[in-house]
Amino acid sequence: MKHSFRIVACLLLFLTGTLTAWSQNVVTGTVEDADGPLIGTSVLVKGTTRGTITDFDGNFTIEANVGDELEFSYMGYSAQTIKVTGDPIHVTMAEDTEVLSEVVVTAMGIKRDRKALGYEVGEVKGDELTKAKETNVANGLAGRVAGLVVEGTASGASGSTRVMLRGATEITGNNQPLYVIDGVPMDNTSFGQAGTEGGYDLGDGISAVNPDDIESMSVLKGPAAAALYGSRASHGVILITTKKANTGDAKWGVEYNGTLTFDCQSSQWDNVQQVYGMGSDGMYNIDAVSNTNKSWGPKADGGLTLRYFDGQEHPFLIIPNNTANFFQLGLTANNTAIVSMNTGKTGIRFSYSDMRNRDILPNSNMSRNTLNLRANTSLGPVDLDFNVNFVHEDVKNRPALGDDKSNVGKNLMTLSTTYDQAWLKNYQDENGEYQNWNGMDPYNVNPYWDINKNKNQSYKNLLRMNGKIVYNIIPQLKIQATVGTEINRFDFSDFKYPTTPGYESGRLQNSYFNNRMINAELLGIYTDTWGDFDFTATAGANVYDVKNKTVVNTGTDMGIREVIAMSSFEEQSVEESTYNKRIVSVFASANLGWRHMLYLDATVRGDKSSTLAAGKNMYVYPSVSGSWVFSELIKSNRKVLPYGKVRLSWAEVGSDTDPYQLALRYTKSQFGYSGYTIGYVYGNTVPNAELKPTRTRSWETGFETKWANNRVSLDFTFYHQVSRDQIIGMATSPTSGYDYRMINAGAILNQGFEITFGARLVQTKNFSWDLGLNWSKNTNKVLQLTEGTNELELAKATWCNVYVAAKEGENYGAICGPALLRNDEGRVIVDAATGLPKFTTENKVLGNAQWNWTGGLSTTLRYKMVSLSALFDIKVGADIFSMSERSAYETGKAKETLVGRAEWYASEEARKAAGVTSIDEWRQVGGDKVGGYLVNGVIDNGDGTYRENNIYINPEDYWMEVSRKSPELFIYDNSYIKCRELTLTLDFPREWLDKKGIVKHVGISFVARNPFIVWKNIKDIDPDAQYNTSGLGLEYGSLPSRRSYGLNFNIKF
Amino acid sequence: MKIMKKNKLFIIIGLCSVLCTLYSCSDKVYEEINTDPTKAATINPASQLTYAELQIFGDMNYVDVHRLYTYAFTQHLMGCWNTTNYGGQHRSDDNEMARPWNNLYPAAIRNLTDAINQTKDAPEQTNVYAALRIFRVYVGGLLTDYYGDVPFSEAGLGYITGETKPKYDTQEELYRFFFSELKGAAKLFDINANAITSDPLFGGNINKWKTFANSLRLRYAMRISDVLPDLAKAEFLAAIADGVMSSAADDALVKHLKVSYSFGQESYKDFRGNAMAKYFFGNDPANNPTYICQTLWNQLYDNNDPRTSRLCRFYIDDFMSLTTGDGRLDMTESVLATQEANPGTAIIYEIAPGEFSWDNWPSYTDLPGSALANRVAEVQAAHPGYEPGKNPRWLMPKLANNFLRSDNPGVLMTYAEVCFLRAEAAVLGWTADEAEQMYKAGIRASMDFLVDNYDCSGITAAEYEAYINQPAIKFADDAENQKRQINTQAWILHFHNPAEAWANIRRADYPVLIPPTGAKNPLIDGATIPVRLCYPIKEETYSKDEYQAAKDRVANYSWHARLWWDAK
Repeated sequence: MKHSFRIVACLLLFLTGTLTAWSQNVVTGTVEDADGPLIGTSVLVKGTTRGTITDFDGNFTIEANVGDELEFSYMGYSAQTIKVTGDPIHVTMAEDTEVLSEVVVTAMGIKRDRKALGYEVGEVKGDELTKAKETNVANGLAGRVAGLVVEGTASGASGSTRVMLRGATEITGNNQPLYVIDGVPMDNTSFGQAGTEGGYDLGDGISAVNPDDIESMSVLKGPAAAALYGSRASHGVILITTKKANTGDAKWGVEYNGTLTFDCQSSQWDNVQQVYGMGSDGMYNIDAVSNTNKSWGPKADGGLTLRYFDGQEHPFLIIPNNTANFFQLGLTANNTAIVSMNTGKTGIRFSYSDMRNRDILPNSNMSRNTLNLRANTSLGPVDLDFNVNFVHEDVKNRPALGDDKSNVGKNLMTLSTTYDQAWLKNYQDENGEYQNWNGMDPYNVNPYWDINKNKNQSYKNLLRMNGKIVYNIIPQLKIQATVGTEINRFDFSDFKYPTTPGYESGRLQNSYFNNRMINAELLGIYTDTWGDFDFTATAGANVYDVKNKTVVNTGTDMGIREVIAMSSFEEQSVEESTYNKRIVSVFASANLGWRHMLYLDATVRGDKSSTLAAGKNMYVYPSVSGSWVFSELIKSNRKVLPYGKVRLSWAEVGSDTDPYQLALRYTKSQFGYSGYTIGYVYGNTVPNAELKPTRTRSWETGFETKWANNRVSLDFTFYHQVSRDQIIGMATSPTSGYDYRMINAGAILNQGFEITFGARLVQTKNFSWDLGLNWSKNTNKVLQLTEGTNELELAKATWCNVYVAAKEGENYGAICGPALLRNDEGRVIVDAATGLPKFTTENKVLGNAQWNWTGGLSTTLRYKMVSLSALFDIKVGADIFSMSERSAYETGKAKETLVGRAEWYASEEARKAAGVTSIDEWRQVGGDKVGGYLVNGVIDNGDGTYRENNIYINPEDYWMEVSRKSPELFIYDNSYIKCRELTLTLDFPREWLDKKGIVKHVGISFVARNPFIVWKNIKDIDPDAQYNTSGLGLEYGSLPSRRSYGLNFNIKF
Repeated sequence: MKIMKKNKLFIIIGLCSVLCTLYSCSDKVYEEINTDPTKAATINPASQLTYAELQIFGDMNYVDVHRLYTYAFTQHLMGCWNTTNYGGQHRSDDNEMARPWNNLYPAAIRNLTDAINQTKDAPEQTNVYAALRIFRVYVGGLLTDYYGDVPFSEAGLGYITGETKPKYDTQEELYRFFFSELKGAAKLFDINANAITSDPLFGGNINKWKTFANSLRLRYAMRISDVLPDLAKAEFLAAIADGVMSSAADDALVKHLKVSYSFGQESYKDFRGNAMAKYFFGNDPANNPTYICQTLWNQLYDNNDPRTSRLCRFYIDDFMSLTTGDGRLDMTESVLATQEANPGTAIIYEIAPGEFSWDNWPSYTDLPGSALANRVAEVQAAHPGYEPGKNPRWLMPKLANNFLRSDNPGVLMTYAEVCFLRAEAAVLGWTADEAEQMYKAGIRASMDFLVDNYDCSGITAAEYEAYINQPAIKFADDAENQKRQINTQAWILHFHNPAEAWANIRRADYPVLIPPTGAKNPLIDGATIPVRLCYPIKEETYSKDEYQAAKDRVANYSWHARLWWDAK
């Protein structure tokens, strides 16, 4: 790390030195419009990033050479370009009739005026994502758009990302938005997520998109915006427009963009008591092989040496920074080369990107190569546009997450205070077998064994192709055909060497995922104007067809240990599954505009899905939206309020389900029993042939305004969305023979506000300060489940007695479990016999995993060629159950577990000295020698009264009991403010570059991702530490998350 | 003109694509797409019977309840972390108590119910239909003996009738139903109908199925002998008349296969091996083996039971293979010989019956010249640097290696059990059987059971005679002591059938088990040994009314509230 800081420091010195030494001709001038001086007109030296704006009197000064061209632009006015002659420049700006044409990409890839939209569209420019590059581009969206919530997993570079727009709309299901790349929906399927029993995060589809290829991203949050995409868009849509070579003058362009970052762990477990060491009951172990993950032993004063599993002796002392020392410095290198060429009407762009990552977890690394070729041309009235995208990804040793036996984070975090993790480097014996260090405890596998002897590896080959033909029949009418396909092959292999605890005979599992998706679309677009009216109508049809096949081969009982291959295993079994589905749709839309002021949109779409039974598989749903650009009426006030619009929309979206939910299926066990067949009903869910489509209805309203010469903008949205008749696998009593049944039921509400604010706070000749704020509040409430059932378990932490549920009347994601039993005054009730607290026999809601509100803050400071920008992500109000914290208390590692220890051990010594065998008796006769942990609570007198608890107990018994019986004490407020991104950029002035203009741009940035957490409420763990993308509210022994610092270099020819 | 031509082309292409689209979404094509090509629409019902049979001892998720609770409550085993921490400390844990409930209903009950539904109207399938019904009773018996009133008559019908909130049948209703169902089903067997093609319990032998059904009636009759003595007697006699197990050849043993010891994900789906044996091997074999509870040890050792050294061994496990049961160093003979030679010295670890402590480990007493000292020297010579005296956990008896094999049978019912049931019935005066004869035949069959099924060395007639002629074992003169002796023997036998062991102890109240005092490990939920498992709390969410009604039928509902048949 030190190294990278030094580089940055040198660079900064160098920059400031040169900037002041260099100077140029000064050009002055004034800008005005019909009414007089125009303040805040943007003046830019063409082809550079050098610019300024006019002052209060419309004057400006800028450094430019004779012959340079100056571009003048002001929102609402036609832009002008004027050549520098050396004389003062006087410009008169004329109002543009096509005012405020801020173009955004909307459904079906149709570009439209923002003002014409009756719904909210968030936008992210591609260049915001390319400097401090995230290994998963979706992570780069965190904090940027109101109502868009991004959460990563603890899995690092190879992991997937959970993106949610306006909350969960489906009670079950992944609730992630649909990604559409250049008009073709993408398959964002994750091949695997860590579940209740642990596992790996096998990444997602969006991670394969190279940020350097992205021109812009449009975030369509509500159903109204997404209505034309149908079922799959009911959680919103993120439209990705990729870059293509501009057509026009024949020219070549070459660009290189490289980022190198050093990654290190961002949170540490620092809540560790420094007094007591390994053991139980205040005593040493008779050997150092048991209680290795308990710190309930005697004082760690170094008084004794213990002989450990490998025959080594070590003094009994606290090991500082024990866990941190396990991890290494990570490294991420991202290199992209882009070649583009255009000649006349043809443009070709080719990009190649190579990403390599060495994780902070030793032996874990990945590489990803992305090739993208885009070609577009025009042949007479026909425009052609083709894109081929190939991704190869190779990941070695993904970290195991959650309750996995191999979760390194989980296994390290409870290691006793006196047990140096480095001793575990001695992980194998002379035969290469597992060195038994803790009684073969399968839940605390030696992490060094896991990262060295056990291996997992994945290969992904993804080919994405799409082609678009546009036939411009007459200027008003065009027909466009789009065909896109995605072929995704993913192989994952997971190997456990024999003698691994829990996998004693060895195991190899190879999973082969073969996914194929085709999307074909035919669209006719008619645009015309009649007098004061603008009119656009579209009609189209779409076929979406997906065919996935998964084969999982498992080998157990390894016969040949030298070769990791399926054939080395004595027993092999196969499991096959498929996912086949087709949706055919027709849709139409009409947009009507009047005098660029009033707009009305209407859409209708009908889907027919193969997943529903005949007669129930067709569903039609409409949307209507409108907007009124009221600023058109008050044109004279343009400088104060240049732009103002109100909008209103209503929409419905229908949705289907997964395949094969209609009839019972049978299968046989993957294991053969010679002579017999082990057969059974497949799955856990009662099928239902009567399923009908889910309906989501929503409306939203809001306004968009720009103030003070466009320097300030303020947008507001209110939305209300209810999904009904959801197709749910509803949990049911296992006594029915099934754990779930497919039904139409439930209603879930999402309602909230979104506010986006942007301002250029300071603007002087050389300096500007931009600030962007977004804030959103979403209420995500489960209104209703089904008759007689008021709760559906969504995720569960095994053996922690805690689960997350959709519960009627509660916010989605209620964290439930048994609670401490309390009397009417709220005092904890203590068991008179044991001195331990009592617990409720029913499950209570103890927390909620929904954010109260989320927000983002972005700011950019620019001084001449240097700019500094930062992005903060703010999330407030969600709770999380922390299994890490629970473990810290259960194992006596947390500082708070010191309370009562010394007293209890002294009391026990006194008791033994007094010859009293029963602890109960000792409590009676021991007098003031009795001590220990006293639960803050009361004892029931049995007559409705309570007395203060006075039973001293072993603090170890207390913490063991409360951590096993109830999650209550380990549910924390997970609010945080994180700095997601920090960049300091120098764009080289044109003059520094070569005279001939071969080099067009050079930029160097210091970048940092997740550099620091401004504030968080939970100790020890990172708030982003969930183990999968659906298990909201549960943290289950996570790895530390990563922070990165590095450099980005960009050069364009 | 040119434009027109192009337009025509587009119109044709457009029309074609519309036609293709329409065809591609016809309901017939859709149905094909929505049919899972890797799964079947029907299956041989006998394969579902196979699945259910194998689950009883093959499902690691289910049989874990024995490791966690049953073996602790029967005081057969103690000292494995799971056994001591849960059952041994009376720690009631919703998740762990739910194991029979959450695993038997959606597997055995679901498939038996489904297969019964598939075969009920198919006369040619009458044999498998009868076997399915008998086996469904067996599974129902397990459930009710764990929880009391349980859903059964309406259970497993989630798909067939859509029933998702089955009523909880009372235990009395269930037992009455068991008798009629077993009788009715046994009558359906027909040698001329289709054979049961997949059956690891009896290999399709319908006579054995009949005998099994009748013998189960004996078991269930004895179970209700305190609450409905008249019905119990009548059913007992009727069952004998219909023909019960008469030799070990009739034993109801599910054949399990040899599979590797694995605790990986898929091993929880693999029912082929005996999962109980896998747990005996331990998923942390070298340091967390299956210690024999002091209660059982005292019973065997103090009475010179020839089964002592066959069931219990003294092993040094430090060199035990992690993948097989091999490599244990057997110290048994020297430990036993030295203890015998030094009766005043505590060589073998001793603690109060039913207790266990991981602290206060036994210490190794060096008695120079003793068999033990010689054996220890031998071990040291073979393993230089190893100090057996430093960590002498091997001075506690553990379960013998023979019982750690995954191809050990799943024991549902044995001829030996029938002997003990008949002996007790004779004591009760129900039958004309000679009680002592039955008692002795039961002991002999119990001993042979170990030899026949677990490769234990043969127990000679002399060993057997010496054993049964000891004052404590010799059949007593009074009925109460006879009952105690019979059921103590049944308890030893039922080591291999823990669910039955616990049920029979609760019913017979013999042997009298002393609960741990809590001095070593604090008792969390009650000082006495629990007598049932609690319903999963989740039932309140799924089936509130039925669940509440069932709880309300029990006074002071908790795991200390006795079952209906456990009236005394």
